Amino acid sequence: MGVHATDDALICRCENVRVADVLAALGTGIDGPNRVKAMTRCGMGPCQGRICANPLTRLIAAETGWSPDTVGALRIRPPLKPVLLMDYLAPEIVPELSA
Amino acid sequence: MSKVVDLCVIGAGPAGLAAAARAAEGGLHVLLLDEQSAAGGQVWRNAGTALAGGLMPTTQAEKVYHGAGAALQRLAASGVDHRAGATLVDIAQPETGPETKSAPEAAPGPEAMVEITWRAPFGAEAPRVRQTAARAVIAATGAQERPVIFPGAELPGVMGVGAIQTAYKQSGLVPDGEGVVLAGHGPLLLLTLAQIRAAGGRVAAVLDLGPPGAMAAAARALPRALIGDPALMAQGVGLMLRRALSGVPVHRGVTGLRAHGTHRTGSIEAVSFTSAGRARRLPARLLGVHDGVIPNAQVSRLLSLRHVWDAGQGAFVPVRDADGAVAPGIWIVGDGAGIGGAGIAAVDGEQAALAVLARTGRARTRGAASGPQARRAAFRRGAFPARADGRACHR
Amino acid sequence: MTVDVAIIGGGLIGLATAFEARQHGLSVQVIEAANCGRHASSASAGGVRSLNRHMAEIPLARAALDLWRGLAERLGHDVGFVQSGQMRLAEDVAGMAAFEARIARLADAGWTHERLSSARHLRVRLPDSAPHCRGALVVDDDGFADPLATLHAYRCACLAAGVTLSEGCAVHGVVRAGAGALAIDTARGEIRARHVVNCAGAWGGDLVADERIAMRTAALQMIVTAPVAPFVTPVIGVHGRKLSLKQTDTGAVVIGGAFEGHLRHARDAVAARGDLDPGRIGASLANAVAVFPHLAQARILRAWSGLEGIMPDGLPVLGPSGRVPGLIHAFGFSAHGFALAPLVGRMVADHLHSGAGVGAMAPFSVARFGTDAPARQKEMSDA
Repeated sequence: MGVHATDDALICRCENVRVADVLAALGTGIDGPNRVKAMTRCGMGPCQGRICANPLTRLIAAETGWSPDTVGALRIRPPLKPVLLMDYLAPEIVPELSA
Repeated sequence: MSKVVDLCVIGAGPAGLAAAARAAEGGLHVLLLDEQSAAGGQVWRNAGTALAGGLMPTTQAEKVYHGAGAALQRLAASGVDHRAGATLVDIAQPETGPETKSAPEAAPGPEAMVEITWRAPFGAEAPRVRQTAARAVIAATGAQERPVIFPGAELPGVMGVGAIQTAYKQSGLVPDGEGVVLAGHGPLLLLTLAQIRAAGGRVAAVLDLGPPGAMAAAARALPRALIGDPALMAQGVGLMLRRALSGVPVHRGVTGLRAHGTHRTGSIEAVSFTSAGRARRLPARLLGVHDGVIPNAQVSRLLSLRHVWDAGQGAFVPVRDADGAVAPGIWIVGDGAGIGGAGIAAVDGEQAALAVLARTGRARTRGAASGPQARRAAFRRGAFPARADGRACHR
Repeated sequence: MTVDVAIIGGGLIGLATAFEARQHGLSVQVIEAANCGRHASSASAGGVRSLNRHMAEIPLARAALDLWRGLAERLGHDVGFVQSGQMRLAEDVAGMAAFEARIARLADAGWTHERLSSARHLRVRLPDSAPHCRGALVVDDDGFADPLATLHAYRCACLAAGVTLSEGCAVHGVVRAGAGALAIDTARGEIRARHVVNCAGAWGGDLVADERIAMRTAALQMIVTAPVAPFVTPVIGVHGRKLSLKQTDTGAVVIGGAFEGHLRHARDAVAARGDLDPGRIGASLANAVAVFPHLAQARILRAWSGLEGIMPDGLPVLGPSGRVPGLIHAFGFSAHGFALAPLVGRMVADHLHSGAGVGAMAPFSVARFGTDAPARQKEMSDA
């Protein structure tokens, strides 16, 4: 995980989740990145895990001693990048907003 | 714009360009989706402008962008439907297997489509969110920097060296003035250092975060990371690095990295760390960090594909067959499948396109690319037995 | 070893039942095929709503609200309950007339929790609502809670109370095993219990071989935006549109409304999932923009779909099995079970403990699907 990731370091910038928060979640007995996500909101932000997914798996592996393959990866959701609500709308629905 | 295509290629870097062009040359209807406003991906970002002399001396541009000019010309001649500024929103394969670590379920039928949801660029006709069905998909989404987690990493003024590379390639800008500190390890860090120095910028210090010997290993790997062709770059790179490192303090074995912000603006004002047993604190206005690159796996994650952890890269890579296929009708090529650099990426893309053509019965011969790049690419895809020491060819 | 109560399904209904059964001193084991809350519970919009309920569900919903107000204290963990109120907007005169008729019907049955709000009041309370909105049907003490926090709270409370939690353990069937015991065939061997509660959600209809109950699984799509300046406190529905919309304390807007995605691997309780349909996401968002036009500029951060078990009449199956003595059904909440979970847990646990409460569960009995059961009056909320 890196000797620089102290407890007060942010692992998820989108949702302001610190390394300490992830360690606390692991302390309740949950065992994977998606359970950590449900508990701490780590990985729920606009970046869809681009920042936190790799460090999260490595952190859980380091803390539990399990291999990263066993730990698994964060599940991500679409949209891969934020999309404006109006991008989904046909022009006749919001005529004054079409480009 | 048609709703069904033979092949959708995601990403217009070296791998995506090769794949799209080859498939279109073979007669397929190809849609190429790329986020950037111009083709080239990260390693060939803004190649067109640079090669035309718009940002840096042409001799330098030709070294930095080796292969890009030919690839862009090939794309233009190929008839690929290239959508610049298109963002991928979602991708789904209706018949894909369960999201478990066991093997995927039985293959879908030959007409199973992959559904790609994407957003057309600003100015396109509403609704901008579109859906396209593709008989085959080649994802060439490339690499991203491995995020570095340390206290203060989120402060304004702290960035990955990729951002410095982007500013350089897009606009010819390099960090200027005092207080520019680089921290990390890996070829890209050294490359960034060299580019800053060559453009007249100053670097106050380099903090080597790697294990002992990492910087030397990174220097050796630099040509491969740069263009994948060591023969071309060997001479120039050694000289470049010696110039780049002269006069720049290098702190080795750095631990406990921390960025400190000002009270007023919140931007970075100093960086503290321990090196050779001593606690140090340096003024810093800009801190560029780098801990290697990892595959951008968002497409393979959305598709719920199998991944395995590659200890050498410190990242998950999708499980591929000898052609780069990860599921029926889906290929992942280039750095998005595992870090190997631009040269290998282009061969990878070419090989996947040949496989797509063979699947549709359109390839005259199955063929395979040849040469040292092709052999390395084939090795990486597992076409040859692994080496006894277990190391992949790209590290 | 025979446990007092085995609960099949570790969603909120199962966990609430487990917790309440432990409060009666019963030994409890929860058997969950994937992980707790994997499907409907973690994808819920979190509405705690008595507004616009089917007449049969109103008593449960009203009683549940009382429990929600004290739930965090009871479980020892925050569940994020906010008494925000719920409003159902009318866009035209016909909508307002439908609301008036409903209020009259409820009054006849002795319910007064729903009230009509005029256009003038709407302008004051929801200044950002579209000008054509005519008024609303309102329940002031409804609200919403945080599904993930609620799941976590119940799970921790169950573990602290001594519930045995068996996750990653698929169930194949339940049969009688001699006097006063049932045998559950699981992926990890047989489990014996004096009572079994079927909280298997979308898969509850298949649990008992000779008591199969027709239901369908739907993948309901949800969308959440980046934070928007505060503009609405109550949870919003709209007469004649499929929409459920609320704004959380971070400013994010959660938009749902029963638009369906594409269901994959429906019969597999572990692998089942829903793929999103952009056209139907668009329809959902169009409904949101129709009543709150400024949302067109909002950024969508995340979309997902949760799998819900939908009953033909929209009402859950609650109460003793007609075929297997000792088996209690508690499934099929048809995408509006979140609000009822604390109460259902209490009702089932009380019944297990003392045998009481069958009357309250009678409207939801599995017997209504038998050939000799009277046909149900279909009186559902529209859209």
